[in-house]
Amino acid sequence: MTTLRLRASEQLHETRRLLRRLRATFRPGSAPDDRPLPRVTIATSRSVSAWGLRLVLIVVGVVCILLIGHSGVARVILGAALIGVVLMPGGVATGAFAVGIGLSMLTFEPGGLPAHGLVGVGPVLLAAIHLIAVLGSLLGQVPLRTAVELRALLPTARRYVVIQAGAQILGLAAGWISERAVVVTALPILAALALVAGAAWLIPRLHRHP
Amino acid sequence: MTAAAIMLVVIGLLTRRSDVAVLGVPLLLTVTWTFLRRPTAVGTVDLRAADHLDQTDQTDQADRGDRAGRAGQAGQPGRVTALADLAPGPETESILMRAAAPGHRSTFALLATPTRRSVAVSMNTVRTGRRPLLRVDVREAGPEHQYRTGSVTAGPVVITILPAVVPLRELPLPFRLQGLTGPHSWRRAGDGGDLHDVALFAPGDRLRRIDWRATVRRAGQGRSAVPGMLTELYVRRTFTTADATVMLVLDSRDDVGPRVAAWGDARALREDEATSLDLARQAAASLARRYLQDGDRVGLEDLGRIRRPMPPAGGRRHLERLVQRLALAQPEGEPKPRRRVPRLPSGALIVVFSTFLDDDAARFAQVWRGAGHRVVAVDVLPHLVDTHLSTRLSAAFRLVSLERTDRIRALERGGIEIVRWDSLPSGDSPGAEDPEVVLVGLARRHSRR
Repeated sequence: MTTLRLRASEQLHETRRLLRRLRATFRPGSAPDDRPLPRVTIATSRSVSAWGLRLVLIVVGVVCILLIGHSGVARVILGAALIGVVLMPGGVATGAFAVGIGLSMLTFEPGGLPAHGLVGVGPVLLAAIHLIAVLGSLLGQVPLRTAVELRALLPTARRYVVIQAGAQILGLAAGWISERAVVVTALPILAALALVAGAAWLIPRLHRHP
Repeated sequence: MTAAAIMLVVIGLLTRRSDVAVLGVPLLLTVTWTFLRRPTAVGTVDLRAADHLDQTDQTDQADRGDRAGRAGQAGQPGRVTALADLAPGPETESILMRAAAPGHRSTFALLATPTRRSVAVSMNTVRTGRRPLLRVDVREAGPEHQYRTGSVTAGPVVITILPAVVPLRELPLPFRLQGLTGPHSWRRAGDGGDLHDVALFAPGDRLRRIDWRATVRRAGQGRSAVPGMLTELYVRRTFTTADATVMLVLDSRDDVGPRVAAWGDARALREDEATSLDLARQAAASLARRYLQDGDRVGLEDLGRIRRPMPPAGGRRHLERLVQRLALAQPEGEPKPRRRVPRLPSGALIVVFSTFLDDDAARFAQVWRGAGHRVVAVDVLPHLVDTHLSTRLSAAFRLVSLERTDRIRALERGGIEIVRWDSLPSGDSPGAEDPEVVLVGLARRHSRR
């Protein structure tokens, strides 16, 4: 809460400075004494701006919309949700976007999702939604101009790959069972429970310090 | 994320669409993972000043005599660095750090924290003195920043920034030198280097001073001379040497920046604008360094503090003490009125560093001049920017400015030499002269007397 208040007051201060500078620019004969304040420097290792990560978020979101939004209305709704994701990442908009993508998938017949070349849309959406959720969760807590150390993203990337590997296998298995018309109602639940149990067993071992 | 994941799984189950349900699985796994690996304890952060300050580095460059870079360095910002020692708690995956400093915008960084690490936080400033500067707020976070600890603040760290020194060539000397030895030639005859005259040997003269050539040349020419015999000895007399005593008088009672609109608010001072006290510190440190390099003795009186002045002394350690005292000089509330004029060593050259925005410093200077001291007044008011002033402020500023001009003219009429120490190089400040050139002129003016 304190951080939020600090950020809000900083944004307000910045906006006021910007307005003062604009006024000073258009006032004849005024001196440029409202020039922007310098920034404090933090010595980081190789880093990427939070801006850059938001751009990645936009690109991935647009790809999702282009893949699944077959109607104009769906694209508009998903686009609005994506704008929400970019403006307030990690909030309700991220969940809404993911659910929106899921609902859009329902408009296709089971197994009837379009394919682009050798890559099916299902696995791509699975990876993209997960990426948007992870990035949104991260970016929702850091201000726009934060320098994000690449090393700080490494554990997230490793976790993403591990979870994706499991999820993609699960997706392939689910697709295969659907094609064979095997009717096991509780199969997805059992699979999800198995995954969670596996993760609970695996995660502490992955983080064990040498 | 949790709600979305559950919704996707539920929708997938209700509609018997495994591809939709699978979309929620990685989200659920991520939530589970972040919950299991959430940070449970808060680490520590400690902020300390780095061992070096770049303003001191500028001094070292000036010591090397880099005159080409001097004008640019005099007003250039130095870099002040502090080190934040981070000791993250268990399960902390990254740290969000916010670094703040007065006159600067905050900066955020998301740092990886595998183990303990030190992160350098720095700011640029042209200001000097001892002030609380850098501060950091850190929040530790687990995976994906889902779980965070509370904010921990370290600082502000108090850092003393020593003034950068401008190399100077020649400086004015007092009207009367003191002592029996020193770096300067004095007009009395004695042990020195420059020839004074050739005179008859007298009791007390050293034998090595006898000028045998002059003695032989003048043999038999005197009144009691006997032709062909050496009856009188002649000695070469030289000018004696002496050292100068210089008292630096710093007026630390006020500290004003270049923007007149911000004179009433110390918080409005920017870090890229040198104030009058910064200029005074720089000027005093530069003069002290030059005088002490020449072997003279330098003392310091601070008009802002009623205490004993720093007595004149020489040497490198004394220079360090002087610079430290200069850096610590700052206004302390409402200045107390000083009715008694500070007593300074007789015969000393007195250099007053002041803005002359009030009568006190000028009055003291005139009293010292009346007592026979040579007095140099260094005007340290920065190059002013008087825009954005209301009508009332503008009128008040004009009045203050006129009074100041009258005060400085009165000093000139009273035989006090004026040097303007501006924040800008002479090329950027119309009508201003390089203080170094002015000081050389003052040094030569006295030597012609």
